[in-house]
Amino acid sequence: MDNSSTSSSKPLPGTRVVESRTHVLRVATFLLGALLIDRGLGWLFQSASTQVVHGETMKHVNVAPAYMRDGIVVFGSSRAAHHVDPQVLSDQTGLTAYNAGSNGQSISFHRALQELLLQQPERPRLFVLQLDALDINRPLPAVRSLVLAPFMDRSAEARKLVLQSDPRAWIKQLSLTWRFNSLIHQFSGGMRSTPEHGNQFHPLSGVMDERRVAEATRRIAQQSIEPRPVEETTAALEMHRDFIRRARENNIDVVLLVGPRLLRRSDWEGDAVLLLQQMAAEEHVPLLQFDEDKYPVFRDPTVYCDKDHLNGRGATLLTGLLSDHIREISSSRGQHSAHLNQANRPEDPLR
Amino acid sequence: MLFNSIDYFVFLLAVILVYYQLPYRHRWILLLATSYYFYMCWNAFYALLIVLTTAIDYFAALRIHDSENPRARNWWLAASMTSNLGLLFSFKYWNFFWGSLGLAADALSLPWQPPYLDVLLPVGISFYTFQTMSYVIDVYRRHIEPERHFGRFALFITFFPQLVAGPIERATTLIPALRTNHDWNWDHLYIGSQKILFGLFKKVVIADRLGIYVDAIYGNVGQHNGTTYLLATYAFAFQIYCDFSGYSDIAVGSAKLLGIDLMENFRQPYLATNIRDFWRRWHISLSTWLRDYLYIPLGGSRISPLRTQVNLMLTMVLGGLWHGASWNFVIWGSLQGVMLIVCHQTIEHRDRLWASLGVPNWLRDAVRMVITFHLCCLSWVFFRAASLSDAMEILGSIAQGEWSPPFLQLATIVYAMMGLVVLLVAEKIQSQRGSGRDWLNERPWAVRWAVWYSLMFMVILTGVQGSGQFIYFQF
Repeated sequence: MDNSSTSSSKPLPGTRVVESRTHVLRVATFLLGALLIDRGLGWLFQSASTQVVHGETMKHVNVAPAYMRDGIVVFGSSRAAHHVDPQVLSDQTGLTAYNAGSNGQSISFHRALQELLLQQPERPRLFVLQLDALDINRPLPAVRSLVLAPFMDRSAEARKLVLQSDPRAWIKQLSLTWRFNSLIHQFSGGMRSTPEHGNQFHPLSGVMDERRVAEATRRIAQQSIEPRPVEETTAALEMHRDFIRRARENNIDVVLLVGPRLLRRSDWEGDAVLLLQQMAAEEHVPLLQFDEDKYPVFRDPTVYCDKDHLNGRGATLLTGLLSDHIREISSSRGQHSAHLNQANRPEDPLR
Repeated sequence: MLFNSIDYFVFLLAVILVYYQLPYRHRWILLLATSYYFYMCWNAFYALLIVLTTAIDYFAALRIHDSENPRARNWWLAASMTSNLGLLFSFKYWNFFWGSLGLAADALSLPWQPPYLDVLLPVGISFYTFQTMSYVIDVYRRHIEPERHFGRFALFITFFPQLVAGPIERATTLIPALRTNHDWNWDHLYIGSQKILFGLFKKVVIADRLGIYVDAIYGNVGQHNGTTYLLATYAFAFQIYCDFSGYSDIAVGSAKLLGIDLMENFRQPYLATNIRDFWRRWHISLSTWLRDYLYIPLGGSRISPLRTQVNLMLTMVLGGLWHGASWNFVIWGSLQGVMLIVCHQTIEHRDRLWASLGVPNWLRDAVRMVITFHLCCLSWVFFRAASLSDAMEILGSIAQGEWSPPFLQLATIVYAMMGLVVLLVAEKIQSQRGSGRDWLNERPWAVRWAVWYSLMFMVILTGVQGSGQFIYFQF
């Protein structure tokens, strides 16, 4: 038998029932209020999101259409976002250009963004897809895909990706406000700007000096990565193929782009480059490899701001090379349209 | 199962619903079973360690209490301490100890390979080990009666809200609370859920957001300038505070929903005016544990000034080592020890100096707060840096005055600043009124609800998704 005490004195039963009803009503009202605020805020953000021309994702969906008509859209990670200047690309190719590169994103995100852009009435001539060997060898944090949450009702791809990104996303997405988690800063300022503002290029600043190169070399040597399961690599490659297939279904050409790195670990990349080359060959799409082995200019540390990213000067160099190759491809298509995979195409949009 | 996950809140809700339906005498069974389930969600095998610790300390405490023979009592105390510290050493300090000896052997060119134990550190081992040690010591000192109900004693060790990261509760308060019949109380619901919401706010809105920036800087030492390191160190100071105090708030709130009061672990530590004051406000359950079970038994301040300083230093070094098995934590603890000693030695002189200057009290306190905060930041560099060389590189960059504009992740900083402003206002109110909740309760209901809605939607809108574990889980 316990000789324990009780922590609260007991009121009369009738008083207690009335008191409980009051509390239940209070809690229910509070929760109802929370639900109403959630719907209201969610609706507000959803309505305002169509005006956003700042940040990523919402900006891409809102601004890219203005540049898509017969133009070029560049997809990729930060190594596209900060490496390809759309203005230089536009000036040198004579086509409008939009850079839809998104920091820290991988092919699954680009696929979802591609689907969102394909919902637009305008069609570009060319998709440039920046590839990364690490993209198929090293999984990126799934949580990055949550930036697609505002679009999960608009695209099955976006919805799938968001739900995959968090095991509890299926509950969280019931909150309309949650879909704009960590995105509200994109509303600031952006809504006052024009689409031209949304197409501005933001090169990275800074230069790698000897000390920083040495430090980065030391760190990269110490780091290790978990090898990616084979089935995930296969799935990533399959997504690249889907990207190409969907572009073709919409009469859009695809050029694949592999950029340079100042420092790389071949054991991280493994045979990913070979797999990408093989995939490009099988799909008959041009694969432009601007790596530092083929282009000595990219061995110069002063064109980099860190071991993975070019600075503004490097970006101009890379964009120039990309433009040259797009022009070459365009003209070679004019002369040898059979050279590229045109079998299913009524006409060459680059011509 | 993390406190900042939906899984935890579903689990907590289920526990609460069943808890209040059960007859009082059966509730310990539910709490014990769910506490073990909570722990086993992380690692089922390591729950056996807790069972072992519980069994040893349960019987040791009974033997200590029932025996009048001092030798037998000492023997049982030694058995309990050896098993507790032995387990802690094996799982937490083995590789550090032998690794350090290995480095020394290397330095002396001795051909010796230190033994290496490839084991995972059991989550919360430092917390529950200290909790159970304090129980046995209190029984030995005859400050408390031993708990004869094995299940309730096991629950004292494993009570899930505070199992993995404290607060390190004392048997004098938690065991009686676990014995008491707690009826459903609406106030407990309000207080508990508000505490949880504020803890969640600190964790996901502030700590995890600042963590993004801190990881980016401290993970790339050698790539940034002094201004950036300084900013990242400030960010880490608030990250670790919000991470740990956020966890403690959720723990206290969760226990409150079950009618049980846990101790407050933090009291606005960055408003401290000196290091001694800081340790009265920071991780209170650990600092009071170290005081009661280490510093005072060593002699405290009742012995010669030199011995007192040695004791203080030893206490803080061991306190540092408690956090983690690395030289960084030893240095962190040593720094705290040195600063405490200097504080003890100079506080009277400084008080006299301030008085002679005729500076208003508010200005004196503000200056002291700023200095104390920066002293804490200095030690946080060692706490956060991945290695000693990284810590020295960071401090070197700051000291050399590389004052070019810092690397900023603007969105990250803006989100964190929004949270920090709310936190600082809340802390200021708490420090002035004793309780922010009491202050809020005096406002009209619309203001109260607006505050709670704001916190809730800041968590939803600006909380970091998929954020990781609490920093103190690794200790």
